[in-house]
Amino acid sequence: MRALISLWVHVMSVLVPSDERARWRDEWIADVEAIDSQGAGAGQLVSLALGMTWASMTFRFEGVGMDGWTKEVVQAIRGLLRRPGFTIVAVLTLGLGIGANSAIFSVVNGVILEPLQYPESEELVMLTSAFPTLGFAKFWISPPEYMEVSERMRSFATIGAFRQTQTSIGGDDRPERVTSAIASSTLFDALGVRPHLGRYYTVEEDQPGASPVVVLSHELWTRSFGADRGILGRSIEVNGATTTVVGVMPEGFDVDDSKIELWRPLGLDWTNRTNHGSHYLYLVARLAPGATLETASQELATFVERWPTDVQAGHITAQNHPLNMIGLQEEVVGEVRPALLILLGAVGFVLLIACANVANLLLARAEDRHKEVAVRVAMGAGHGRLLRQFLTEGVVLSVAGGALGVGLASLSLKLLKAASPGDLPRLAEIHLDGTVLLFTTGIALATGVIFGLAPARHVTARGLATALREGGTRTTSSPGQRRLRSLLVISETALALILAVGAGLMVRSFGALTAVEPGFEPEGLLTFQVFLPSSGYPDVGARLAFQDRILEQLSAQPGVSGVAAMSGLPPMRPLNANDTQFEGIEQTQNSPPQNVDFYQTVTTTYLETMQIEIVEGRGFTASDDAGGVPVVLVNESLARRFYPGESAIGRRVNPSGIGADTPFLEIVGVVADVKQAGLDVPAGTELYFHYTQSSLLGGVPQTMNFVVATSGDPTSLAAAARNAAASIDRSLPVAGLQPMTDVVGDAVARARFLTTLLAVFAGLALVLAAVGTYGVMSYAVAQRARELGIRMAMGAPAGGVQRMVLGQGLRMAAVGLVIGLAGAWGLTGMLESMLFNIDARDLTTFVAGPILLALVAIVACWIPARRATRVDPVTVLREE
Amino acid sequence: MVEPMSTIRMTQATALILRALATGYRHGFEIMEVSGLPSGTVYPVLRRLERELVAESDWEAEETAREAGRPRRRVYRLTESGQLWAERARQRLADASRLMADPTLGGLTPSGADG
Repeated sequence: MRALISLWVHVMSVLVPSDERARWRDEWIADVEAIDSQGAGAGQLVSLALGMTWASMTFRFEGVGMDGWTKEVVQAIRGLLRRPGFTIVAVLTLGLGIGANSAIFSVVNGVILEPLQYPESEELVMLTSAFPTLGFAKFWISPPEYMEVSERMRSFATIGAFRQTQTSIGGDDRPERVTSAIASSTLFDALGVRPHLGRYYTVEEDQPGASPVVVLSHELWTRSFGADRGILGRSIEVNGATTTVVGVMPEGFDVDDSKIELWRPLGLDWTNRTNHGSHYLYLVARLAPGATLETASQELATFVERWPTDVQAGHITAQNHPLNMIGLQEEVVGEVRPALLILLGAVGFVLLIACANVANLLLARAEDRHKEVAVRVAMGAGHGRLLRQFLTEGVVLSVAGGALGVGLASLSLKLLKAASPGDLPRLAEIHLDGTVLLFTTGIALATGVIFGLAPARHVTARGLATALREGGTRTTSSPGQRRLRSLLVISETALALILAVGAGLMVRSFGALTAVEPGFEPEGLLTFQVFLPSSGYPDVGARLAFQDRILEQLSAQPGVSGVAAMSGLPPMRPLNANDTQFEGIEQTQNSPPQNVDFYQTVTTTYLETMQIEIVEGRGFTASDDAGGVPVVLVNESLARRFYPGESAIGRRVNPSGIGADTPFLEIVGVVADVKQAGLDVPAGTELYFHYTQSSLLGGVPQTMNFVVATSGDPTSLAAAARNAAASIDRSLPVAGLQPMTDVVGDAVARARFLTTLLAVFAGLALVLAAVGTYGVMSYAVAQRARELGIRMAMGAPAGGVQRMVLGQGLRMAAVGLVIGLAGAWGLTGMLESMLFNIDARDLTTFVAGPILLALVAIVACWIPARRATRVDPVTVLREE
Repeated sequence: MVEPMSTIRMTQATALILRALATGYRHGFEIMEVSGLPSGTVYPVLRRLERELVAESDWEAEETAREAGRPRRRVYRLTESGQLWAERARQRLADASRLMADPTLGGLTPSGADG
């Protein structure tokens, strides 16, 4: 960063009057170094550099009164208006570059940079556990573990615990299923946010057996209760139980970006410390006064280290089950940070290309005005005066581009928000604010100065003298100007190639991701979820009866070819990680831990409805019921892991955990793997239970996902699905009603978002680079018209002239491609973590990218080359 | 009290920078840090002070920089007339802080300003 800022100081110090230039440049570079070595952030350095730029501008414009300024600006505007074509292209190019940058910066600012919306949010940390031996890096914490942490650790002022769940609210009239948190009352204290209305629940209300209370989110309160302030103290149905509303949280209040709409007491029994193995809580803590992330981490490490001797219960150890701590902000945004920074880098490239184009245009314009300028110099206008003029013009252009950019940014932000994946955190907090506008103003000014100065540097006194002597209607460029122009084309080509390769990699990775077989056929399936509350469906019989009835109703609908239900909806659902005993397999150091990633309770027709292949043995039949032999199915991963090289059929497992005396279930079938933890990771191990036997697991699941198969459009069955549920029980909300293809699509939403944006930016870069190359080549041809005319008058064949011009352009492009390839080779490593099944140095992409760019360059050079052959020697020579 | 020779416009920023120099802060970046003023304000004021012979500046010794392994820094100090201007700046800032502290002037005391 410091190198960049120093480079910037070098560039813009040109503005300082020449007698003081070296002094200020050296002083500023020393000061940048000093501030940087004190550990200043990037933002601080940038604002320092902007201030220095401002200072050098005031030095340059010293003594120019308001009148002089106004005149300068008016003159610049008039000059720009005289050439509307040039101005429109320049402003559009800049607007696109600045707009894209502002939009992406808004996202980066809202998501990553701004602190979370809690008071003193930097004091908030999140605690999770891990099971390194099972491969679980982020796992939940059990209640006794939470209690011990709360009582023994000194680094935390308050520790709250919560878990995310789905809750049914409303009664017969408007049932609804909402994402909710079951949270300790201390969670609110830790987060430190006051309720919008009423209060949050008290420690007394957060006890087992306390009468049920609930706190609503602002969003739920507005959406479902009409923002009625009289809601406080009123009773609503929550999971079938009459519950009192005690408070409403402020707008946007959430925890760990879980999109919580309802808060219910956790009601832990602090006298019961036996269930160490039941992990389901995440902890959020506020650091005690004086504690820092470092000291708290140290205390936590010591706490874990001494757990076996201090607590003498449970299984916390540093090796097998440690506790981990991370800043809450890092927890929320850490995962998306690399992707967003890559996008910011990509739009930065687009802006650089836009700047190069505008610099090119200005350069050409400066040369066209060579004579006018030369005369003015001869009349006594100093070099400084000219510099000022170019700068004013550049800044006026970039301010216009910036204004357009802000408009484009606010428009594209709306699009971005609409198109962004549901799992992008803090989406609601993204907006164009002061920081973003400051950023936009900063880059607009910086770009204006860059390309304003680029041509000015080459309008030297000597060049001007030559211009006057020559006195022709058209001047030729100096070698320096030609070099600068070639340099601009080369860097545009290089930058565009880097973007094209990056986008190409993402597109190929996304292709690979969507080609992943989920293990079932989502086409033609409609899915929805129903939750059966304990109040209305207290026992196994009632729940099974409901499921049978709704399956029956659905299959009777016209156009339905199959129905089934399952407890967990693939391809992305939370991990179960249940301890499971495998009969006849001794648990040793080297054998796999006896734990299964996913439990799945399904109805009889599940496999055929989802088109999941049976690899060995059989599927479930209706006779696998409570009266039959208890049976299970396993997936191939499980069979491979626990029964390598032998058949799993006939072996027995006990889902109630190691050492339980509940009955063992016999494996009767092995089925193909179905993705459960996302498309980009291995399926994991899975154990299937038949729903009529699920009481062996401790009861029929209350939440079931239904799938309905049809040969037509699955959405046409939506009304039928709602009606079927309502005809059995009007109070039950039908949630997540959507085609199965959408569920699978959601699993790759983030990859799609990133890929689309990168592809758009790369496309923009390609177009801008093509326009830039075309502009430079056209200009070169126009300048050499006389030479080309004479050549052709002397009998040079048109083909030869065309080849010569084409060759000149393509040489520049080739240099750009080589540099771009090297750059891409170095930079695509940053994409590594975001690529799926594609190497960051994928050969196909690294070959296809340059070919594409070369084609673009050929087209961009070919048109001017053709024009060169149409030069009429007579006309050109007559002009002389 | 001897009147300073030159005349400078005693803005709030100028006063702060004069005080920083009088207190012994010697580099541009230090002055920014202690005054909280942005670089776009500090450098032009320093340049003006130097032109009016209120302050003078020079490079620090080559050796010092080499030993510390960093570029040479520019060192500023007040001239004799600068001392007088710094005194004026002190008075001006003191007046301003009295204004802030006076409870009869709208209660803008530091402790009352947290609402």
